[in-house]
Amino acid sequence: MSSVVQYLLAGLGIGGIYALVALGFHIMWSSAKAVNFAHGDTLMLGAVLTIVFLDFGLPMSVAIALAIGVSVIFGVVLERVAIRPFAAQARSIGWMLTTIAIGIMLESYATISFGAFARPLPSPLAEKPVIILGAGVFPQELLIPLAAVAIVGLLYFFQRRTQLGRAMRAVAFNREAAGIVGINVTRIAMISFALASALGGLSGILVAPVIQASATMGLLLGIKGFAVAIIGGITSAPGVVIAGLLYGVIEKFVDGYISTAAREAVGFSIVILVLMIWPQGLFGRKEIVKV
Amino acid sequence: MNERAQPLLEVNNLCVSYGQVEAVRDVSLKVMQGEFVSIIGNNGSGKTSTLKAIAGVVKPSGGSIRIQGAEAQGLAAHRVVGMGVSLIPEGRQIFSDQTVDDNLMLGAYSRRRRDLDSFDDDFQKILQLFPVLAERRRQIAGSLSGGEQQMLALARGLLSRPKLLMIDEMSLGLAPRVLETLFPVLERLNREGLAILLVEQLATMALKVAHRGYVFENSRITISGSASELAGNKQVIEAYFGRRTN
Repeated sequence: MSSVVQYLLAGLGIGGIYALVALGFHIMWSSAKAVNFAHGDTLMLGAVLTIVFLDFGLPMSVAIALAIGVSVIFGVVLERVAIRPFAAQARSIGWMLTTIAIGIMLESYATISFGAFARPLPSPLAEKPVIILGAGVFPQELLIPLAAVAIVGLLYFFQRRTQLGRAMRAVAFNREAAGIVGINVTRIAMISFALASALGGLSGILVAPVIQASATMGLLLGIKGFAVAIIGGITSAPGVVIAGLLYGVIEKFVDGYISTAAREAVGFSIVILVLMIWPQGLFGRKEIVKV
Repeated sequence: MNERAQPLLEVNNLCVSYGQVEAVRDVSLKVMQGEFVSIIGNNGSGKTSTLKAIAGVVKPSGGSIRIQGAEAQGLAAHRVVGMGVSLIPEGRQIFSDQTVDDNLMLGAYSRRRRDLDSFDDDFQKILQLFPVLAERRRQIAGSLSGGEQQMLALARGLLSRPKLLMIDEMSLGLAPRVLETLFPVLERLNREGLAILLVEQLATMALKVAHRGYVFENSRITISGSASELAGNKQVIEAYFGRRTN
C-alpha cells in the first residue's frame, strides 16, 4: 500500500514537470506552429542560473526572478533568430535544426562555465520528507503538480478574459484571420515564447531541488515534455497537463515494479502506441495546415 | 463630393503571383470616400487575390496600394486594419472555437485605448444591426448557422471602425432569404458613410446596390463603369446575367 502511494506521489511530482514543459510546447506551437526544441535547456537555464545567482550571495527570491528573466530573454531571442526566419512558410522545418543546435551550444557553454557535475538547488520544501499514508515525499514534489494544475487554470482564464488571451487563441486557430482583425501575429508569437520560457525557467527551478541541477538536466526533460505534449494533443492545454501527470505516474510504477532500466523503454513504447491509435494525441484537435 | 478629392483606396498596376501563377495582372482601381463599389467576375479571375493583397494577407509582386494617400503595399495585415481598411474574408473565417462575444471583442483588437471608451456604444449598435447575434452572445461561434456566421464576420470587421469595408463573396453558400436581410444592411452602412468594396458572384445583386463596378476576367480588369452602365453592358449581361450560379 505505502509503495503504491509512494510511486503515485513521486510520479505526480515528476509528471508535474513534464506537464509544465509540455504546456510550454503547447503555448509555442499554438502561436507559431513551431516549437523550441531547446525548451528543455530553458529549464536548465532557470535552475543553473538560480544556483549561480545564489552563489553571488543574492537572496533566493531575487535569484529566482533573475533566472526566470534570463530564461524569458533566451526564449524571445531564440524565437527571433532561430524560429521566425525558418518558419516563414507553412511546412518549413528549418527551425527544428536551428533550435536543436542552439540547445546543444547552450548545454556545452553551461558545462564549461557551470561545471560538468550536478548540484542541488536548496529549497526549504526539499529538506524533510512528509509521511503520507506511509509514503515519504518532499513537500516540493507535492508542490509541482499543484503548480501545473494552477497554471493551466490561470491560462484558461487568461485566454478567455483578456484581449491578449483571446488574441493568442485567435492566432492558434487561424493566423490569417487573426491578422485580418488587426492582431500583430508576430508579436503574439514573441509574447507566447516569452510566456513559455518563463514557465520553462520556473519548471527548472521547481524540479532542481528534487533531481539536482546540471548542464545536461534539460535534455531528457525536454524530450519527455515534448513526447507528453504530442500524446496529450499539443493543441490542448489541459490535455498535455493530464498526459504529463499520467506519464510521470506510469514511469514511477515501471521504475518501482520492473526496473529503472525499463522505464524509458516502456514509457516511449507507450508514446508510440498512443500515437498509432490517436494521431492527434489523446485530447488534440486535428489541425488544418494551409500551404 | 469634390471631384479631385483624395481616393480612400487607390490601387495602381497591382500584380499578385503565387509561384509561377499570375493571379492578378496590372489591376488599377479606386474607391472614394463613402462609395459603394462592386467587383464581379468568375471564379479564379483574381478578385479574391486583389482583396487579399490590399488587406496585406498576400504580398503583391508589383504595383502600388495607397490608403488615403499613404503607401500600404506589402504591409502586414494588422497594419492595414490600423489604416482603416477591414476585410471580411471569403468563407467568413470567424474564430469558431470562441464565443460570439469573444469574436466581437477581437474585432476591436486594433483600437487604441482611448477608442475603447466608445466600444460599448458601437457594440450596442452592432447588436441592433444584427439582432440575432444579441441572442447568441455566449454561444460558441462555430455553432452558428451560415448566415449568422456571415453576420458575425461583418460585425467583427465593423468593430475595428473601418473607413473602407472589403467583403469577399458575401453570398457564398447563403440562402436567398438571408441575402435579403444582408444586402439592406450593407446599403444602410454605406448611407451612413462607410465605403464598401464588394466582391460578388451574384452580379445582379452586386450591381443593384453599388455606385460603380469593375469586371474581372483572366486576372485583369476588362470593364469598369457606373453600376447602371455595367448592368446595361451587353458583354456583362451575356457573361454574368445569362448563367447565374447559386
